[in-house]
Amino acid sequence: MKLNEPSVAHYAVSGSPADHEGFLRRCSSPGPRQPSAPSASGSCPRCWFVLKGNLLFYFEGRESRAPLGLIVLEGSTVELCEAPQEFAFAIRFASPGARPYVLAAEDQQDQEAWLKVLSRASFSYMRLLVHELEGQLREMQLGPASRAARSPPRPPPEPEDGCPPLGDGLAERDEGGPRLPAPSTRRRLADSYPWGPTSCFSKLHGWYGQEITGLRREWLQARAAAFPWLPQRANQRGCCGRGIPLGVLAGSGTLWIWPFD
Amino acid sequence: MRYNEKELQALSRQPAEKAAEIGMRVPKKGSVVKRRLVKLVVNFLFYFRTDEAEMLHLEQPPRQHCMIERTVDLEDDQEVFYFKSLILLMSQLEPERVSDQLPVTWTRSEPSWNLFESQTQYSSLCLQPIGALLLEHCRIAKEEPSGFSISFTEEPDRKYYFECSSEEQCQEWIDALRRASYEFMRRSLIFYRNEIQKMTGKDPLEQYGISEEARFQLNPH
Repeated sequence: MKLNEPSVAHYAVSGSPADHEGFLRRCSSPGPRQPSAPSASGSCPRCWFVLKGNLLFYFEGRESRAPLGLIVLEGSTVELCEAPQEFAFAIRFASPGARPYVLAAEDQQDQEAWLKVLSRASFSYMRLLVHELEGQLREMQLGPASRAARSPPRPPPEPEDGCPPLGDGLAERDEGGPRLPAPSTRRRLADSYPWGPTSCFSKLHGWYGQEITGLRREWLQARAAAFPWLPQRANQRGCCGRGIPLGVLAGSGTLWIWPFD
Repeated sequence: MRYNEKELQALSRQPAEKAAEIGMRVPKKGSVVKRRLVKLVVNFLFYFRTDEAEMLHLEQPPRQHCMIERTVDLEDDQEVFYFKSLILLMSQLEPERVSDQLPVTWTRSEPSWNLFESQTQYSSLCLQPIGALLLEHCRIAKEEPSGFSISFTEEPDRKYYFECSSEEQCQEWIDALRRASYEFMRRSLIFYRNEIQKMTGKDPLEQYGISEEARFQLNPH
């Protein structure tokens, strides 16, 4: 399979900005045995790595003008891995039979930085971000009136809770393909709560308890009407534990259990 | 420069932004326009053979050691699905691995692309691309009457020509290709980020925890 290699190599050293660069040890890479593979010596070649978009180039040294190799990161995952070298990590590909690249950083900070940038290097991630921001901007330009008309009615957010304003027009685009995981989960949670995700417990407890409180009231009223001789104090809180045997109503065919309030 | 063909082949099977059979001529002496399946996946443009004769010539005869007869019932969806998976696996695995992992293989009484929705789908799923173009630092130009060309900054006269069936199709390709580079995406992101920041006073990337990253900065160093 051909690749426009001269142009790719030119892009590697062109003036366009690098997203990350630094020395890494190349411990293993896919393909047949390499002359530089760590065998007896156990050492891995130290190369200068340059990340540009979704492409990771490596060079013999910092000043080299021709890349030794290219790793196309699209579709890869990056993770820590077991290796004889310290601060090693692996770039893996999902396709069957594909072997990972194992690289080792200089120190832990360096390793973390590489893991971070490599995990976000895909074109798809960038495109998702662009679509997300493009949508946000369009919604803002349409103005708050159109936004309110399209989103379902919802209690206004409570600023004192410090929750972000809800309904930035994201709801209607939810079914439009893959989304950024972190924000979308948060939005969806926020959509189902009337007070946003950061409300305090007592508020949430009150909100979810409304149904229970209503049912309990109905039940107590019905019971008081059917069995007027039962102690009326049962209608108030703190009534149980008065020594009334549980089997007292068993004659009616149902075993009534005292409410635990 | 080393690169792993398998990574590119796997990428070429990913869903396309745009794919079509159009004419293509590579910048080589004496080369002529040939029908190619051209498929845009992220910032790579892959091209495949489409010509039936070429494909027949390319298809490998089934290997002896993994040859067990199996006929495919084309009425049975399950069978067809199985058969498609088999082809996909065979095209991705090393030949030696096929016999270990697949207990059966098929006899090819029908051309295998009959099982797919179109020959285009067959080509893009089952055949290896002939080549790929990385669409960074490239120039997309309109060519008369209804074609376009791709050239790269280091050698602007070396052009890949493409011939479309209509001017409309041609314009669609030009638009799609101009949006296909990572550099374009980066510029768009920075543009939207700045516009939103101007309107709200807040950095929209902060909510994702990526506002500090070099690739999202206006003037990274």
